[in-house]
Amino acid sequence: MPDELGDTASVSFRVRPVSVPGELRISWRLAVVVLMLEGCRKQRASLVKLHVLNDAVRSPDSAQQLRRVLRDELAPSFWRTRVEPAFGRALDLAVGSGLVSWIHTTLGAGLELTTKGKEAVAAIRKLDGVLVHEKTVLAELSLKLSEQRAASLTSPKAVVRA
Amino acid sequence: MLNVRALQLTAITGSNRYRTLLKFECGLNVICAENTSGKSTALQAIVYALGLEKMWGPRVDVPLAHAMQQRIQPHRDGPFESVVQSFVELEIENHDGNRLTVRRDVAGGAERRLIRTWQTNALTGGERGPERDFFVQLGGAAQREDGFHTQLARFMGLDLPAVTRFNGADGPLYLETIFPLLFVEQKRGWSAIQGPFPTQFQIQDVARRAMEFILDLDIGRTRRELADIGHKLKALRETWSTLTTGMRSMLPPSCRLDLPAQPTAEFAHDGHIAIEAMEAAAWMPLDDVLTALRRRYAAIANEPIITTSDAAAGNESELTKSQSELEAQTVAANDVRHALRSRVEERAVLTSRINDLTIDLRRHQDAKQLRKLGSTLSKIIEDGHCPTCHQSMAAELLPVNPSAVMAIDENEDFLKSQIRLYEANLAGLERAVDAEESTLAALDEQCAKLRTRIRTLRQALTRPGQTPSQARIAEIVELDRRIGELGATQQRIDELADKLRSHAKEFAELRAREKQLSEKLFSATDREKVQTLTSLLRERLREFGFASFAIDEVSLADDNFRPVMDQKDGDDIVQREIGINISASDGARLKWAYYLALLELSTACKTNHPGLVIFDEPGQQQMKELDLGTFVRRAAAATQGDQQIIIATSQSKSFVDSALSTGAHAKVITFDGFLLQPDRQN
Repeated sequence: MPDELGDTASVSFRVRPVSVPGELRISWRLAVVVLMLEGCRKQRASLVKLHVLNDAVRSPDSAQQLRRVLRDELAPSFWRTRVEPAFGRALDLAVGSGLVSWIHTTLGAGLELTTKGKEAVAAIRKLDGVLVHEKTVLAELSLKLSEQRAASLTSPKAVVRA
Repeated sequence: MLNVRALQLTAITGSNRYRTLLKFECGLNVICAENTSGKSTALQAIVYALGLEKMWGPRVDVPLAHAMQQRIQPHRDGPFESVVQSFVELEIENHDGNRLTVRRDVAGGAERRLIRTWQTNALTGGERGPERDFFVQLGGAAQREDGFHTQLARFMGLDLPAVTRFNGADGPLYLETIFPLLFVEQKRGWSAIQGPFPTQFQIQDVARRAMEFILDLDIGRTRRELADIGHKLKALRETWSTLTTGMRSMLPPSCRLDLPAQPTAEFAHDGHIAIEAMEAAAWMPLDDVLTALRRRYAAIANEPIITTSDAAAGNESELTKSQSELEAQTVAANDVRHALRSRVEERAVLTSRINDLTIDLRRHQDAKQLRKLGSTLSKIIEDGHCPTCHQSMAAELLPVNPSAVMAIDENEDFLKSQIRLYEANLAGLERAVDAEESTLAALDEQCAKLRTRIRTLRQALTRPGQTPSQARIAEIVELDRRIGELGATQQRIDELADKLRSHAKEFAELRAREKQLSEKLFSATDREKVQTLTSLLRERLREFGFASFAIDEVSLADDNFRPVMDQKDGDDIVQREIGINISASDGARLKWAYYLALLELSTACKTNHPGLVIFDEPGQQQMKELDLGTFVRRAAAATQGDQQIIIATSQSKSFVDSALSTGAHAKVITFDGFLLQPDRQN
């Protein structure tokens, strides 16, 4: 510290808030979770499938990538599922909020849309111009991606077979 | 101008018809009755009949008491009866003395969005005559011919100005945004000194626009002219861009144009378009290149063509020169190509960054919209706490987060500013890429020409000595072609230059007008009006016993003319908000003074004030009876000519009479028990 500031001088710092990626906003994430399940058969899905869908909804490019894999235009090895910790937290919060509930599927733990979750989906559908990209992508991919396919995309064998 | 002449409320039950007819006069009208007897219902019915209830917010449906909607009783201990049908009728008068009677149904009748009108004094003895129906609360109610507010504004002699909405589009300044300056509602009306104004119409600076209109300030018109100029300037910029792009596309690769990206005043005066042509790896003015080419052509085309052997020495030295020139130009072209490649890469990175940010921004905007769902989605959204462990979720879904997280709105603004920054960066980069691309194209063309020339020179040197020099012939042909090409380019650009110049001239004139208008937004008349309003406000405050701070410190805010406090800050005087720093009763006094001053100003100068002010329960906050009496007296004195003030108060008639004992006149309307009685008249 330079002497001329004297003993009484002090430097203060203010903590500035940081920017948060949009997909880490709770309201956005919870809405996407219920939209994912709404598109699935019987409105239920395994965690494995949900992680693949979560990855697909990440960007228009990744959605296109999954689309091409599902159409067999691209080898499954081109698909790398990322397990995102924030998505796990979002699922916990969705369960805590009563939107979804835990179930057991052939691929292990899974989630199912509750009545409250269905009401939330209806409310989200009513909002025009909100989650436009996500609504279209999930409506298409949630149904096309079967549980078996999701499992094969995430198991190491998928890479070996390709 | 607008005067309320009569108001009739009707509620029909299975066995009775409850009805009341209130007649009003010019000047002061006071409705005296006990609490919960129906005073507010009467005043709100005026607003409902005029289809203006949305001035209190988008959710307000029927702002009337249950006696007009569900059930009614003749007196406090009487039995309740279900309301089968009810409606409100209102007779109003304008500056020309024309009457208009309107009827709007409340329960059990026609659609509430329908307003039936008769151009007669149907409530005060006249015949109904032919009926005309209008609609309210639907798109176009203030713009279409069948919209009631179009009709009402015309009846009041108001020409509603166009104002800018949040989305940048223009729309009318709705009557709902003006009436909060005329009607003080009992509950929320006293919570703000100005307004409160409805915000659902998405009008930018609504308080300011409404005040500018009521005060009929020139600044409002000036701003509209400025907006109009803004639109014209935008259109001119677009035409300019289309024209210049067209001009560039007709240029050969070896030429480039130096044109301003936007029309400028300088171009309007000295509209010279600099065309440059590539010559020997450098950009030169087209005129100079053309002159040099023509001189060379004249020098060699008129001479007899020399033989190969005579030309050999010259050709050899030209060959050497051309070869070294080609080398230099290839190096230069490679440098440009290299720089261009890195810029194109940079452009790709920037574009992808902007795309990511746009997606992120959209997610934030979605998140903001989704928050509206509140607990339908999750309780976390409502209170920001985890539903299971009840800890704060302010950090959203981030892992352990050492610092605070931006709120959604702040984050949205942050992303928008980032996008703006990157877009500006990208625009600069695009310009650099364009310049380099044209340089590279020109250099490549030059290299190709040099190679052809070298080939011709080589071939020429191996031909028999007595044949005419092939190199010379090729040079003449090339010179002829290039002079033709450049000449035609020059001509085409010159033809379009006139158009560009006239655009630039128009642009410069509009910019000059824009500058002139923005320097003098406030006219002298505007200033005078604001000063008069300030002194009227201070006079009234003094009269009403305002004591929270020195009355001379009260002034009007520069932006929307709400009352503020002038305070010294060092040598400067700064305007401070009047909020919680005054007592609640002084808040009400300030509101009385402000609304009366607005009315009185219309006597002194030309304003758009309709000459009607309605106060519901001005005796807020256990106001001293002495001051309330002064207010009533002043209200009686304030109304001039056809102006009208309507006050509803729970004070007794004797209180009002004693306040008016000094000779001020007022019509006092009283009733015992409930306002609505089986067929009664006041």
